[in-house]
Amino acid sequence: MASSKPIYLDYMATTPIDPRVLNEMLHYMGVDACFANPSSTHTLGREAALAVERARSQVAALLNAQDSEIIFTSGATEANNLAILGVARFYGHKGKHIITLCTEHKAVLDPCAQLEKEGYEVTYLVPGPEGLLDSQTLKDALRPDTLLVSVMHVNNEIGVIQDIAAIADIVKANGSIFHVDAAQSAGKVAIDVSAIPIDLLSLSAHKFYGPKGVGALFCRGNPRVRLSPLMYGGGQERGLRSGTLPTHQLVGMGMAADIAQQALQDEALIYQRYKQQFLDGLLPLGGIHINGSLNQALPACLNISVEGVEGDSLRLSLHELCFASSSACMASQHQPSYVLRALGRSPALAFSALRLSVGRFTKDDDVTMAIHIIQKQIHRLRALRPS
Amino acid sequence: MNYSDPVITYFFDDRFVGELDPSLPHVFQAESGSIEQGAWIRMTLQYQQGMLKLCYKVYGEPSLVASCAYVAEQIAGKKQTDAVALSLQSVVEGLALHPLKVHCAIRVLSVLEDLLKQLTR
Repeated sequence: MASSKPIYLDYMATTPIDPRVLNEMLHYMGVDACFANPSSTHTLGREAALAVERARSQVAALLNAQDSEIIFTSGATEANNLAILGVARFYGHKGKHIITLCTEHKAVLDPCAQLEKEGYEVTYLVPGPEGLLDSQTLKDALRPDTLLVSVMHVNNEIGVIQDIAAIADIVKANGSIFHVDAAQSAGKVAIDVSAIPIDLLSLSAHKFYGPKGVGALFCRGNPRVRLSPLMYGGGQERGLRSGTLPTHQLVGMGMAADIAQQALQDEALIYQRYKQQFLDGLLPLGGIHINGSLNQALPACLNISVEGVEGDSLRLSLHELCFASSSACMASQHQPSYVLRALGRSPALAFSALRLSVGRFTKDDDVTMAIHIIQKQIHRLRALRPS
Repeated sequence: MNYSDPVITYFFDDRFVGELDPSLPHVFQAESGSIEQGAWIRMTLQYQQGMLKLCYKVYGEPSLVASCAYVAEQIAGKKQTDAVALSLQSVVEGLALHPLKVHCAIRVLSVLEDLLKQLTR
């Protein structure tokens, strides 16, 4: 196989750290930097604490939240666990029913499965064929004892954007707590928690050009949402997430949030153009199935299934490209995507899915070359097939 | 799945891809599987002046595609007795096939066996 650097089209899995973010992080690492523990009361500790609080303000600004509503975590998985398990364990006496979607990320589905073992009842709603939740389906599932509803903003595999504002109104009308997994939307789609009655919202820095290993949970202050912590120790983050705060990671996330907020609209226009280029280049091949809604979706993500080619052969054929066939977190399981199966795709089409996701460092030439490679390899594999 | 270097090489080797009209003299065709099964092979064997030529069409995973290409290469220009002697072990070793993918070589060799039987008849 060619040894040239492959074209990276997997920005939904992770993004590189923006050079501006990386440079800022370096000021908080190393012996000559502001490396002190932000909980320390000496001069360097206070300096680090100021940097942490600045990062908190930057993350809060991304969501139009209050600084005090941001809890730092190790990423969206921890934030999702803290939200779901934390609510269930704090308010469990008020209700034992939880609603989520069967197309959620495992970081939501697995905590829900754990709660089922602990006596909770979880309803897994099935979205429509375009991956979108029907409001009537949600209304029908809500019960007086529904404690929590968890719906992801942008689906990690197909990029569809749920109507979070409409869902929030329905959930709050029932008096339930509303959690949003925004790992794929924060920094890419405008989110305003002052306008939408979301109670809890998870995000992860590495999805918007920040470092891996850091994220946040927005936890509404008014009306106050209470949580039971998952970890106990030094009492950091108002006792909800003990553990020394990683100043350099938080500074990185803060700056990444700042940049994302400023770049959001301009970048979306570029990604929409790339998406259209992919569609124009690939749809004429025939037998290309778009997975999920095309209109209500992240511009940066396109998920297609290719008819008449076997999935593993397609993936090997496209070794010059870095892309996903499902969630990176599920890639090792070699099963057809449960998200695509929930949308009604056959196992064969679910296996032959390509999730192409572009980002800040994608170049025009990357897209042109990727389209050429995909066209060529689909032609080749289809020519191999008996007829 | 990490593929061995030979599997990758033969996966991209299209030299013997194709098919011949089985109604022609000394041309034999055999098939196995279906698209629904996720594995589908159609092989055509031509016997001319004591020499064999094998070509194939295939739908399936990379190890199956590579097995077709490898077997076709091994058969090319050989005599019938050489083709009969082609063993599963030699294909598995030649492709450094993962143990979970040996079934691909078995499927390809069973189609070859079918063709050789037709040739004998």
